[in-house]
Amino acid sequence: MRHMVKVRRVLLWVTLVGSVNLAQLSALSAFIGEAKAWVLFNSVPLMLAWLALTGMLIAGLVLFPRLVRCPGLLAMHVGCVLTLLGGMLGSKAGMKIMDAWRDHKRVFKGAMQLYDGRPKRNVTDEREQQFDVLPFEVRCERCWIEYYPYEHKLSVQVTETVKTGRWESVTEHAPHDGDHSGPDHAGHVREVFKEKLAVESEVKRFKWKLNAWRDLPLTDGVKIRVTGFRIQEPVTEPFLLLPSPSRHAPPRKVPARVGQQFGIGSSHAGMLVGRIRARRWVRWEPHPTEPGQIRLVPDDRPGGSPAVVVEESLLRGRTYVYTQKIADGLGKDAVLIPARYVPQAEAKKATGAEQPGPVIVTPLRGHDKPLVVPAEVGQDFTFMPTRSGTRRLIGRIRKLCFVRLESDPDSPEKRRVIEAEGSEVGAEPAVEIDVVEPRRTENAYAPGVTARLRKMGQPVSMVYIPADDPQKMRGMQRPVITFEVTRRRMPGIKEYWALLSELQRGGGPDVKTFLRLLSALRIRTGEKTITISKGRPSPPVALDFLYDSQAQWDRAGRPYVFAADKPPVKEYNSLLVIRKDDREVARSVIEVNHPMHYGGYHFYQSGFDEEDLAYTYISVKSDAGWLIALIGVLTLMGGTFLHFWVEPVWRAAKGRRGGSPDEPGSPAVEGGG
Amino acid sequence: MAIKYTRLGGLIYATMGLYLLAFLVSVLARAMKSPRTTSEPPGDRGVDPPPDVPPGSSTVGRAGRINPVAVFAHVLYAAGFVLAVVTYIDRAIEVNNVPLQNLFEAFLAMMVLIWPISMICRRFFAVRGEMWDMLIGAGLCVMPGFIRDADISPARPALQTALFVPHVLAYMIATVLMIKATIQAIGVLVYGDTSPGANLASRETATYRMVCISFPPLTAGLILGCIWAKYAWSDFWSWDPKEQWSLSTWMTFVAYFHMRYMFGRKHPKLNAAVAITCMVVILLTLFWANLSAAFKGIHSYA
Repeated sequence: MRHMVKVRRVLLWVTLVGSVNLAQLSALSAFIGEAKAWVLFNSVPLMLAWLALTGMLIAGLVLFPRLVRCPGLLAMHVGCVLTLLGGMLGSKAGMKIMDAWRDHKRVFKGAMQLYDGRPKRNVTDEREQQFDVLPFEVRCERCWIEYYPYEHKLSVQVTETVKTGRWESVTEHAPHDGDHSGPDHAGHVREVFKEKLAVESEVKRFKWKLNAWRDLPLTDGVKIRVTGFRIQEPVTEPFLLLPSPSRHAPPRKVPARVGQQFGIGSSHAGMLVGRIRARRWVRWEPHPTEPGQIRLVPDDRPGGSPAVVVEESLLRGRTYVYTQKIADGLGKDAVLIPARYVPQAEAKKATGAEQPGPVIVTPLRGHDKPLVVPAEVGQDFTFMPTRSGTRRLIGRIRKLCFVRLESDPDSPEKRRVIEAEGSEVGAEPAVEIDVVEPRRTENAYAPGVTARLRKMGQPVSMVYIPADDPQKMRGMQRPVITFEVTRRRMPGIKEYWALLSELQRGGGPDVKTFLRLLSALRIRTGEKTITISKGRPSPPVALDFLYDSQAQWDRAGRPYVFAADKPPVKEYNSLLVIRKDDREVARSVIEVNHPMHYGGYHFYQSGFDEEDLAYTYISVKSDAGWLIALIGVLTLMGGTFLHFWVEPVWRAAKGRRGGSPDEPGSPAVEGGG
Repeated sequence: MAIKYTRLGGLIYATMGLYLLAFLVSVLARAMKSPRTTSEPPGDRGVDPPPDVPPGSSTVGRAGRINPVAVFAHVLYAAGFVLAVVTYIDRAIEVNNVPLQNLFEAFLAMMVLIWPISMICRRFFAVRGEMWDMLIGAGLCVMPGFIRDADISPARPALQTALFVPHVLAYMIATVLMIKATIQAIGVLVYGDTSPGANLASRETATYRMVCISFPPLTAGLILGCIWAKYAWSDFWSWDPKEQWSLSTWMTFVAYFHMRYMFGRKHPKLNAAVAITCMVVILLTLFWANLSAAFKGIHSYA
C-alpha cells in the first residue's frame, strides 16, 4: 500500500511538471510560426512525449480510483486519451503506420487547383513539389462567389478630367525639312482641332455612405447620391459566341434574337453572313451522308437541347471605298453602290440625324430618308442599292482610313484610289466596306456543338450559349452603381452673363470658373446606373452622361470616372463532382465551413480565382483519426461541465450547506505528503 | 485613442460612467462604515484597502440599519448593466448580427457579462467583491470606448458558422470569471488565506471556486474552436500561434488543478500566484497573439 502511495505521488509530480513544460513549450512555439511548430510537435522526441502523456493518463485512470468514481473526472481524462489517440492516428507518422495494414497508400493532405470542368486526380502538397494520387477523380462543375449587398460603406473614386480645345489655323510643312520630295514644301494651311486639358484631373477618393448626398468637385450646386450598389447578375439573354476577329480581341457576342444579323471574316478570305431565324429545341443524330459526323434535328419533345437556327450565306465579297466626295463607291470591278461617307465633324449637319460620330449615308429604295449607319469598324448593315436591281446586300465596315484620288494614267477620265497618310496633302477620310450578297443555307447550333466551317480557308467556330447555362456565364458578374444626380439650384442667367462679360473684358479667361458654370448647366439630373467592368478599380468607366455628350469641349474627355471597390465576399462556392470507375459517386456544393466528405477524405474550399472564376482551390485532408478525436474532445468538454458545473449544483441541491456548493476537488489527497 | 462621437460611443461612455460612479459610491459607503477610513477622501483608492468587507455586506450597517449609500451603489451598478445591455442591443441592430466579430464587440459583451456574473457569484458561490467588479466593468469600457474602432465589416466566409458565437462567448465568460478569480487571488497575496466576512468563502477557496467555474467555458471555447477549425481549415489543430497560446492557457489551468489536488490549501499564496498566471496567459492569448506582429497566423483578424 505504501508502495502504491509512492507511485501515485510520483505520477502526480510528473503530471504537474509535464503540464507546466507543455504550457511553456506551447507558448514558445507561438514564436516560431505555424510550419515550424508543426515540425517541432511532430518530431521524434515530441512523439515520444505524446505517447508518454497518453500512457500517464491511462496510468492515472488505473492508479486513482477517484478518476473512475467521479463521472466528470473520468470523462475528462478519457476524453484527453481519445483526443490524443485521434491526433496521433491523423498525424503523418500515424497514417504511415496505419497504411502498412492497408492495400493502398492514403493521401495525408494536399491541395487541388480545379479548372472549369476538368477532372483531376493529382493532389499537390503545399510547396507543389510532391504529387499524390487519389483513387477517384474530382471535378469542379461550377464555382461562384456570393457577395454582400453593399450596405455598409462604399468607396468611390472620382476622377475629373475636362478636355477642351478649339480650331486653329496652322501652316503645315513637309514631313522632313531636308526632304523636298513632299507634295508642296511651301506649306499648307489647314485647320486643326487643338485639344488640351483645361483643368487638371482631380482624383478624389470618397468614403461614400449609401444614400448620402455629396458635392462633386468642379460643379456648382450639383449633388450626387449613391442609391444602390450591387453585383449585377450575368445577362440572361442567350447569345452566340463568334470567333474573335484577331488573336488579341475577345470573342464577339451576338444576342440570339430572331432577326439578328452578324458577319464573320473579311471579304478577302470570304465572309460568313448570318441571320438568326429561330430558337428551337433539337436533338442530335448521326449524319445520313457523312459517316462519323452528327447533325442536329429540330425536335420540340422534352429532353432536347436548346439551339439556334442560323440562316447563313458564305460569300466572297468585294471591298468598296467611300469618301465624302465619292458617292458611288469605287470598287475594283466597278459595280456602283451609292453611298457616302460623312466624317464626324459634319455628320450632324449633313444628315440632320442624332449621330455623334462619322456615318455612312446610303439611299434606301422606297424611302425618302436615306439609311444612316454609324461608321464603326465591324458594323454590319443591310441595304438595298438602287442601281443593282432588287438584290439585298450586306455591308460590313472594314476600316476607316485616308485616301488620295489620282487620275488613272491609262484612262484619264477614271480616277484611282490610293491609300494615304492622314497628314498627306489631298488626303481625305474614307471608309472601306465589304459588301456581300447573301446566298442562304441553314444551320443549327446547340451548346457543345461547335460548327467548323473550313470552306473559308480557316476554321471558324460559333458556339450557342443559352441563357440558363450558368457555367458559361462566369466572369460576367459586374458591380453596378446606381445614383441620383440633382441640381440644388440652377445657375442664374444673370450670373452666366456676368461671367461672360467679365471674360470679354479681358484679364485672362478663368477657364476653370467658366467650365464650372458650363458643366453645372449641362449636367443632366435623374437616376442613372453605371456598370463597372470586373469590379476592379481600373479600368474605370466614364460617366459621360453626366455631361451633355454633344458638348464640343468634352466629347473626347472623361468628365468623371467612378471606380468602386468590390463588395465584401459572402461565400465562395464550388460544386464538386466525384467520379469513380466512370460513375458519378458523389456531388455536393462545398463552401467555407462546409466541406464535402467522400471516401475517407474531406474536401475544403480554400481558394478562388476571384477575377475570372476560372478555377477554384480545394484542399484535401484525410479523415484518419478525426472521429476518435471528435468523440474525445466532446467527452472532455462534457466532462468539464459535468464535474465543475453540474455536480456542484447537484450536490448543493441535495444538501444545501451554507448556500454554496461543495468544492469540487476538495478532498485533497496531498500526494501522501 | 479616439473619442467616439456617435450614439454608440455615448452609450459606452454612459455605461462607463455609471460603473465608475457605482465604484466610487461603494468606496464612500465603506468609508462611512469603517471608522479608520472615515476621514479619507472617498475616491482615494491608494489608501483604501481591498475588499476587507465587501460593500454588499455593508448594506446592513453596524446598528442593523440598511446602509442607503451601499444600496445606491448597487442601483448604479444595475443601471450600468441595463445601459450595457442597451448598448449591446443597439450594436446588434446596427450590425444585424450577434456582435462578437472583433475585439470591440467582444468587450461590449464583457461589459454586459460582468454584472450577471458578479450577481451569480454572490448568490450561489459566496464570493463577493462587487466593488472591484464595478471598477473592472468601467475598465472594460475603455477598450471599446477609446481604443478599438467601431468599424462594421460583414462576416467573412470563414466566420459564418454556428460555432462562432459559442466559441467567442465561452471565452468571454471564462475571461470575466477569471477576472473575479484574480481579484480574490490578489486578496490572498495581500491578506493571506482569510475570510473577508461572515458566511463567505475564504479568499483561497473563492479563488479556487472561480477558477473551477471558469474552466468549463474555457475548455468549451478551445474545443469549439477545434471543431470549427476542422470544418474550416481541414485540421482541428494547426499549430497556429493563437492555438498554441490557448493550449498554453489550458495547460496552465491543468497544472493549477493538479497542484491544488496535490497540496490543497497548504500553500495559499503559491496557489494564488498560479491562478494569476492563468489570467496573465489568458490576457496574452487575447491581446498579444492577436495584435502583435510577432505572431503571423490564420487567427490575426481582430
